[in-house]
Amino acid sequence: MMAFYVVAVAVLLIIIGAAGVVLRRNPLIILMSIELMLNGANLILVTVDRVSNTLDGTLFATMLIGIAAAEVAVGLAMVVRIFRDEPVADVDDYHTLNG
Amino acid sequence: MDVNGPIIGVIENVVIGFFGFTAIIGALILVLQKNPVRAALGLLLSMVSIGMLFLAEGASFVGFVQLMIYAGAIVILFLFAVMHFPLGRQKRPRLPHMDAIGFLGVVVLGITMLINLALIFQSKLLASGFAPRLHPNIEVKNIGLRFMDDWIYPFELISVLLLVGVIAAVYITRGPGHLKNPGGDE
Repeated sequence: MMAFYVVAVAVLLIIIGAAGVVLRRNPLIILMSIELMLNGANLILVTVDRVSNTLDGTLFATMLIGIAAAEVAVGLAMVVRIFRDEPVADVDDYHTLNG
Repeated sequence: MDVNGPIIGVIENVVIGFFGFTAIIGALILVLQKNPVRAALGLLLSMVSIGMLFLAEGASFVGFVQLMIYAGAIVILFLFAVMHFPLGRQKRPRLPHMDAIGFLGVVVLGITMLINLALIFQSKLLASGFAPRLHPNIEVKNIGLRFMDDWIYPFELISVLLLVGVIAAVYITRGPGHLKNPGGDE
């Protein structure tokens, strides 16, 4: 029963993270919401792994943490770079894609 | 050393219930706060709670990795990035129909995932509870052996990905113009 509770928490985290990505306009908060969704996926992986008593979910979750670290480094670099050219913290104002 | 006694099970359930609740609270703070610093602290609360959930489930290795990498490194990186940003300068009104479309999308996603959750509950896939926990030394040893055995290619590819990520982050932040005059800082 506790395993189902944890999976329900993870599903709620993913839904809240998706709401943050879609409804918020600050690019930093959008990145943080993506991290939250990744963590919800991680939580489901580890929980199902602990119930089924294999190690594959834990291994996958460990690698997902590494991928998330790389993703957040590149994402924050992009946000800081965009902000240097256009000092507005609002994704609706970012309308240029030229390199 | 016995790590699976009956008292441990009760403590485990209380800890899982509490930190599941605080994980949701942290996520709500992240999405609802206007101030980005408070949003980052909400993310920190959520990350620490998820790490505690990992530990309570008996996945001690990934729990400590979560606490170190997410709560220790990524949230601090976000807090440093927040300092580059101005507060409360969102003056242009949003396109009026975009919020409604986004909200509809979130509602559809939420309903779909909750239906899936109900199907999982009905199928009793998770009703058996957690497997008995291993001693952390044995767990970490097993994880290391698996990483060096049949997960060796994904494990090595992660290192390549991290290297590419570091190079990309430095290149994107400094901009392409810096490559043409090496040694010249600005």
